[in-house]
Amino acid sequence: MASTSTSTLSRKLILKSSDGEKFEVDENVAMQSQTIKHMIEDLDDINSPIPVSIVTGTILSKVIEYCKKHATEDSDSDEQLKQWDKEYANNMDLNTLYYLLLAANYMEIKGLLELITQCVADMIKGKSPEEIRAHFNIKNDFTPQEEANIRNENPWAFEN
Amino acid sequence: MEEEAKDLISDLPDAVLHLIFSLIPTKFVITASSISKRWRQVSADHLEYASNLDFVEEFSKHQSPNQFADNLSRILCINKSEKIDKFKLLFSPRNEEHKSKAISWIRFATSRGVEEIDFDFCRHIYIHFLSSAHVNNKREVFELPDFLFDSKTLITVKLSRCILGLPEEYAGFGSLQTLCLKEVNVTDSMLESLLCNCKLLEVLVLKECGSLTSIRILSATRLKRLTVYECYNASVLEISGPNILSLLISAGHLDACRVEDMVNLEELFIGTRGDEFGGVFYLFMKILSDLAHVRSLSLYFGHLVLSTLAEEEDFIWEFRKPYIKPVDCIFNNLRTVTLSNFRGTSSDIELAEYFLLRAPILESMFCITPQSMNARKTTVSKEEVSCSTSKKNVTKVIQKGICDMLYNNPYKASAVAEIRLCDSGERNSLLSFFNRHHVSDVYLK
Repeated sequence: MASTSTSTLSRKLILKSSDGEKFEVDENVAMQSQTIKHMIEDLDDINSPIPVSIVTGTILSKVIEYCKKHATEDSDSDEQLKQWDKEYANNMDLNTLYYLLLAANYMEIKGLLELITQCVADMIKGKSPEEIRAHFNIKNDFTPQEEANIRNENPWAFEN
Repeated sequence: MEEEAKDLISDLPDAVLHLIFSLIPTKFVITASSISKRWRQVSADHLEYASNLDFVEEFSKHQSPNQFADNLSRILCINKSEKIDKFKLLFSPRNEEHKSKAISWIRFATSRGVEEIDFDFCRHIYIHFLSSAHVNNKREVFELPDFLFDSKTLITVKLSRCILGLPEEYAGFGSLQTLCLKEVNVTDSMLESLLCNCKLLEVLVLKECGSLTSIRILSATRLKRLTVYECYNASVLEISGPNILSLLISAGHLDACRVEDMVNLEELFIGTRGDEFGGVFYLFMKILSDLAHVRSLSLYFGHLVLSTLAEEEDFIWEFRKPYIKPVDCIFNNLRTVTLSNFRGTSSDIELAEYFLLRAPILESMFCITPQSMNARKTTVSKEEVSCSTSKKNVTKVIQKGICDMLYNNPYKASAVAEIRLCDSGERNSLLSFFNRHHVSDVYLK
């Protein structure tokens, strides 16, 4: 805390993905991750790469893209930022969304986690159980009898 | 491609799935239980600890009011969450039993420290058709229980179609920041008491509260966003608020309107469908001079007269839209002006010119053509479609010509001001303004 704010802003960190890819980022970009923030506090040597153990390089680069956009505060209005978020999420396929969710959850990046969970929630909303299964490739592991029983618990909820 | 077929979502940690479930309507949490064994488990756990509950349109589908009430009570019964964040309800209590159930649900929410409530109690009876005298017949209308007003945790309160019986010893919602009252029976003095006692209030919406006669919003010093929409029995409107950034006023008739001390106002929408004599237009033009420091201004002037005959409709519009009495002031900060219901009539042109001449740093002027011109084609037969479309095109050409003429006006105060003719489909900024003011459903026609 002794260092001045300008030098904290310009400090660089190196993040290392699970597959060994290294990313140099500004500290204020990386600090959006609570996990990394806590790691830095415990770290003696700031110059050694910080391992982000469960996140691959492909996903980490997308996470960093998000953090960079949200680290620069003054450039965009709230509405522009929301629009950017929307496009960012819309460009992801299901697999990427899944790994991003895991990454945002592990790295504790609140905004990203909210963005992606909302995106997945919007896919679920308004769909029937069959449609949800098809959309996410979920296998129905109930016997027909079991499924019928579940539907009979709340028949009104399953009518269209 | 192979990976495409994998079910990854079911492998997500429980915590993440619960986050997702907290964002979907309660009904879909229930239907999700039939997807697979994994989802059944998460759904059951989620219902037990859900802190975000909503029982609105989706939930009421395929249920009689009695079933709705029973199923809702059942879901609350299994809920073990210590804290409820959000509780949304759309229910029309038809008898005493329904009312007492509704009260028990409200008690459930307040006893668990609810932070946000959104209650709409009546889908069928519109209180605003009943004048305050008629509301004495309160049998049909749901009255909120006194204990609700003791809540110290509420941050957001949205109420629709009910009676707000504020207890006399009301001490204020300690944490309240947002208050939306839509078609709520609330008296002038209750509103005053709410404003005096809710010190943290930042957002206030009064929509179609027909029981208000004078609206005085003078003591909410933290208020940032204010909406007063068609409280049609109110003849006096007085607003003062040094921190108000965004203001929406819409009224059909007012005897007096006064605005004071709004030094920080940035965006302003004034709307009216007019009154018989046009008095409210003059009133609004007059208050504009007190708010001439706004950065962004939107106006909707016009009397809504529905008519199936196109020519007649235009005639009535023109007839009812009075000429604007100029108020001499300079709009020094004005950057955007949006003129809705722009038909290119002489009063429209006069209004557009008025701002062009008086706004030295104006960047854009949006002239939005009314939707009724577009909407007509969907409701008439094929022959008429081509007729009305061509008429629409002609109108469009004329309006375009008017915009060009305005653009080339030699007296324009701001040389860079751009003038754009927009379809009602291109008014996203106006719609997002309405959204922020919790009146997304207005001025759509």
